[in-house]
Amino acid sequence: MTAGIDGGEATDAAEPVRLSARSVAWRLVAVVACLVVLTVAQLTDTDDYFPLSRLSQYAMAPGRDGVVKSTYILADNTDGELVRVPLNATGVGIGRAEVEGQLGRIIDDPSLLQAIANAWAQLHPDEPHYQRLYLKRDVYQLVDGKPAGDRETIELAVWEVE
Amino acid sequence: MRRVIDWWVTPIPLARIAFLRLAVYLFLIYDVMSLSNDVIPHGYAPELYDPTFVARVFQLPAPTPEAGHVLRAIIIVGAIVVGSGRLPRLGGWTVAAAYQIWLLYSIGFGYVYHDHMALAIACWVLPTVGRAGFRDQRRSEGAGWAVRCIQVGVVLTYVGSAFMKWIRSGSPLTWANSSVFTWAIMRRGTDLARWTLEQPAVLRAAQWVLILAEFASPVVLFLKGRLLATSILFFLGFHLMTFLALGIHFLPTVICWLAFMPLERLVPWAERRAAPRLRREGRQSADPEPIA
Repeated sequence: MTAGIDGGEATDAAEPVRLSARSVAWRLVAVVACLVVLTVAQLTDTDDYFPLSRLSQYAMAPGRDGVVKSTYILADNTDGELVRVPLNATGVGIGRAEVEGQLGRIIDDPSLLQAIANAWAQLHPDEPHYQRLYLKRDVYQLVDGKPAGDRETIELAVWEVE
Repeated sequence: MRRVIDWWVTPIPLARIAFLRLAVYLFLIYDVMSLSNDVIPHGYAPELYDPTFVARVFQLPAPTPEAGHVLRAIIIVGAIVVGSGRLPRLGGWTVAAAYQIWLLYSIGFGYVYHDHMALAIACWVLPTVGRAGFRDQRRSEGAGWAVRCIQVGVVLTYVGSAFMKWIRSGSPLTWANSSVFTWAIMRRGTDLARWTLEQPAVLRAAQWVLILAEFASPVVLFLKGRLLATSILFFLGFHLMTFLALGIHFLPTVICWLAFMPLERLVPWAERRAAPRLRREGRQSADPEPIA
């Protein structure tokens, strides 16, 4: 037990374990390279160089009289019900932010929604399957920083599941 | 220049690396099970794979559920081995590579999260240190570099975020005076937070505090003692608030704040606490004299 303490006290004052000049050099080069990539990612506003990507979470600045948008997917299922598609890891495996991140691509090619129906069917084989998917967006108006009035709903895409 | 170089390799006791390894690798297990747990489900929607730069360079194909299971198994087994102090280099590099691929599959579907930067850095720098014991008080420049990289990764998570607010909105003032917190709470606010929608001034004040703290965060790299502890508590408190208000916890960054703490003192501290008791017990049987 005391060997650890004694040893610690003895080496505290001792010379630290040094790195060779070469070891220091590559470490500093790595640091500079990472800092450059991270800086470029911020300046060009890109996520492409993950894990050194733009740190843009909540970086936008909606105005006090702006709008708040929220995207979601509804589905007609084989039980004849209209249900909300669970956009998360345990639901269809694709998150709401991921749908929003690829929104342009999905609107241009709604057949990509088939992937969400397939994922649901394979992840939850005992649940009713989806027959038709509706990609929708709710838009809320802000007035002086507060939500005002009713939401407006826009249908962005519809897909008949194959 | 010499001072800058010395700062990056300031020697620290190897014991801090041992405790950091334990914490980081245990956290990875929790991460792949509960946070970045969308990799295996992503395997069922390969059409939506949208790979980022590193994934394209290494030509990583769209994930399959089987590939996800294999990666997760490698990370969990590797984390247990390396976290307990074995195979720090070989095991550490294996976990770093597997975890990097895992993250690329998690973020490669149209949304990149920003709370994993310091943790990803930790996984790449910890294997450079080699063997480190929980009682190893030898100070090492290699350990100092690894800890410094994690610390800087944590700080840059906040500084970068402040600069992105500036870049995106044109000016830090515009962001601080915007309705971004209203936007966040309307989209995903918890019941605890929804009352603030009627109090936009409170939310704007919070925005000011946040962006100022983010710009000021590099100061923690130079603080010691109580000031450092207070700063750490401030940032952890911020993450606790966003968790309660929005369900966003930033735990992968939170765990990396450990790199700022003198973890190497844990064993000596525990031994000092245990020592009088052991001595007392020993004396009670052999020597009835009270100890001073």
